[in-house]
Amino acid sequence: MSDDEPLDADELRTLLSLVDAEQSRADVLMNVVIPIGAALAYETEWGRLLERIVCDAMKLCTADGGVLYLRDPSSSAEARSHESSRALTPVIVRCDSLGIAVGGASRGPVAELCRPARRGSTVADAAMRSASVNLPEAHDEDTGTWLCGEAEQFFEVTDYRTRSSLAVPLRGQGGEVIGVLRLFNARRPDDYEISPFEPGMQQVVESLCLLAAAAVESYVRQQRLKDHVRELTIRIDETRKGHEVSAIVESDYFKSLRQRARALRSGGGNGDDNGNGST
Amino acid sequence: MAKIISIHSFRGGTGKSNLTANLSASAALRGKRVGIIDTDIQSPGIHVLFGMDEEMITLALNDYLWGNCPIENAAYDVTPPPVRDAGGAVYLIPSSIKSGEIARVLREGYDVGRLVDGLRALVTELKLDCLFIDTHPGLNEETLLSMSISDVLAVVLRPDSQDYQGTAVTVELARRLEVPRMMLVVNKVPAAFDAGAVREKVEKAYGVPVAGVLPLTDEVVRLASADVFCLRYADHPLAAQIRGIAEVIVS
Repeated sequence: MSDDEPLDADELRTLLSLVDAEQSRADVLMNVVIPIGAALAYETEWGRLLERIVCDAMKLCTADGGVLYLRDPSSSAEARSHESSRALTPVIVRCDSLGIAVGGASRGPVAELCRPARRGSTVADAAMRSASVNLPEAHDEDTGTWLCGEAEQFFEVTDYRTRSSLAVPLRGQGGEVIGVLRLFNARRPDDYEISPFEPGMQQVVESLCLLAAAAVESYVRQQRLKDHVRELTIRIDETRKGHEVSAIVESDYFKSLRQRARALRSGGGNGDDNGNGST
Repeated sequence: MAKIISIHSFRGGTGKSNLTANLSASAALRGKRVGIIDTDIQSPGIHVLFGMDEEMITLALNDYLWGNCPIENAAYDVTPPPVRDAGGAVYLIPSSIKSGEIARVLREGYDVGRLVDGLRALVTELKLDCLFIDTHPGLNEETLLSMSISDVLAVVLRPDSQDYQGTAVTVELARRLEVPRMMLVVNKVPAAFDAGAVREKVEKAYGVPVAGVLPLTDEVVRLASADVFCLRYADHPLAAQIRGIAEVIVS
């Protein structure tokens, strides 16, 4: 299509459809993702914070399930940057069609359903590359092989067939990956059929993960400060204190001051003997 | 009988004067007649919170101490409108902010006995329910005197290593002076700190009840002593905490 030729009806329809999709994505970002991000920032309970990240992302994509993997939040950024992908541990698992809701505020046996991310898995891949991994089909029907290690493992435990899978890294302030959110089996809103995660929706989830990472880091930072104050030690050198107190209380001024104070409190008037003095 | 309350801290910068102004206003909001005397003659400042400047202060505490006037002549009615509406009153006896007069005090000193007499006269002349003494930080004859005549001593500290040792000495001296009631106020606490943990640590270290753990608050910093925080931001959680401390003090 050259710039000079007018668009035909099909091209115009395609263009309008793209514009609609972009408008819709902008609306979702403005009206859904940003409010979710704000709510995450104010969440004060760790389990609920993690649950919200997964559940809100699932709702955005109408996904059937999601798993949130996190690196150990107590480790330093430097340590996390050198750790192997095995350090990405699942903390929340949700699957609506199976009625699975474990981890976070819901508690339950996460480890029985999902293993830590292994080298070569989509979650590990997303973390290593610091980029989303979007699989329209997690299982190659022709060869019978799983393209997503996490989906295969989940199938072994639950017989659940993952089709579409989207793994999005959560990047901290310094750019290091602090976790990965994996959503699976997006559904079309109109007929609820399983569908791939559309590129537009991937971008929306990536935006959400930016805000989620900020909320997680903020929470960890606050907890570290609180831990610091729990370890806060008020050091008082009792020997030195004793010397300093003695030096004052043994002075004539202090002795007369105490006498005067007692007299005042007992209603004995000024108690003024040698208590008067100049500063 | 009027209650005399000393607000003291071992180090400067703990927010003592600001807290004194806020506690006084909070007490006055309960319908009390409250006096505030700025005995920090070397570095006076509490008058700023009540909107007073050099031109407005014709007679100050210094003039009374040098025998130039009765102490009540150095008292200014600084009652803010919300306090007046509540039936309370606030009187401030400022220290002089003229550099020459500050220098004179540093050079010549003053009769601390006369200060004690003046406090009694203030209570009588102004019919005060309570008198807050905003002391100079640190330990000297004047601050020890304030403690010795006070019914309540509130020692302000920050969660800062520079404050701990000196506060311990202050608390012990107050015990030796048999101050009837003593409390600690931990001020300027970073918001992320757990207030309950701070309270527990401080009470255990000093064996003195903590009347309040007050967070470092953006609004206080931005206000920069231009007004009394509890009156400007009456609905703020910090204002409620300060009112709670005032209630403990005057009850």
